[in-house]
Amino acid sequence: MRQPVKHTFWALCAVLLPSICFAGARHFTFIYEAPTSPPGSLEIESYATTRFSDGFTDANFRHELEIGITEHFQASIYLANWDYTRARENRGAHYDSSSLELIYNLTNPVADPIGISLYQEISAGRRFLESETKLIAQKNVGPLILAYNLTLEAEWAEESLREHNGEIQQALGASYEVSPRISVGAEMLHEIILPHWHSSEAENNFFVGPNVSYRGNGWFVTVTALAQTTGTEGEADYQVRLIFGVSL
Amino acid sequence: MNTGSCSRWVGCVVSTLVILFIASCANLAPPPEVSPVLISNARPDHVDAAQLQEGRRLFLAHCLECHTLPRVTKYNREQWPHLVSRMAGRANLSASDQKAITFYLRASSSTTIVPR
Repeated sequence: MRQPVKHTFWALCAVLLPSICFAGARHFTFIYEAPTSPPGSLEIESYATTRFSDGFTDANFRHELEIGITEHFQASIYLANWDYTRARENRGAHYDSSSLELIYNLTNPVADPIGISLYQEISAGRRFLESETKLIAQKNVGPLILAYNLTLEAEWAEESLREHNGEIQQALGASYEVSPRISVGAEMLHEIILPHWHSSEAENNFFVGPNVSYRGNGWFVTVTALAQTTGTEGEADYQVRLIFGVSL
Repeated sequence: MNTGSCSRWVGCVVSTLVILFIASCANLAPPPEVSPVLISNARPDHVDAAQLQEGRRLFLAHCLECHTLPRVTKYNREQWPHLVSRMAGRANLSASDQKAITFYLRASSSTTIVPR
């Protein structure tokens, strides 16, 4: 088996196998949608992101327990964010962090002119702290879902958390429901990376690619493949993200 | 990826979006508000305006979590109960929520008054 195919296969196995049972379907993988989980619902979602630059470079995994608290509020616990890297000096699997995510829905994407939700995530690991704040906007036009996320990320790392970096991200996506079970669409991602929060060192990356989602009875799977269009050195040329979810 | 192929990619995505947007506008209207016609259609189910309103609210809030909302006239009065029941578990609907959504969809599935 060719190397990238083999690594993608093992990455998929790592996500799918622990998820014996699992809902609230996602139409995108890099973009969040405005509606929140129904109150009392419990879901497990597993994420796998594989990156390629001249072949496989690394894979990222997240395992999320999502809880619907009220009609407009949901909370999630990411039990483990970990990665597998192929780099010679750091080869292998490493635990990265655990996270708490809160989403509050303000308006409905069908009944209101635009659906808005607010998102906050805090991640903490060994010598690592990250805050991610998002504005989620969505409009449903019949079977078409249009979604936009504006994200501000702040990261503190290393000893005494002395290294600090920032990132501003915009993501735009469209997903069309061709049938009640299948959706296809596209996602675009624009990242502005701010090392040490200095705009003079800012790095712009732009990714675009298709997505597809399938909803089963009580489970769903969504996959997006993005290609980098900016040619930034040190950033992945391609990345593929898969999310598999099941209602408990 | 070079600049030429990048522009072609973005162009393709944007054109597809525009076509899908135009096609989807046929279904732009949100689920109908509770009206005298709906109240009249709901009489065989012995449902009042407040219950229909609650059914509409729940339909908008819960069903969107997994899929876009179909046109309410896409299915008829007899088809809706089965469809709602099939998805109730996944949407975590209580028995009363399920009933409210079903009554609203049965009443709104026809825009004309249902003969009694």
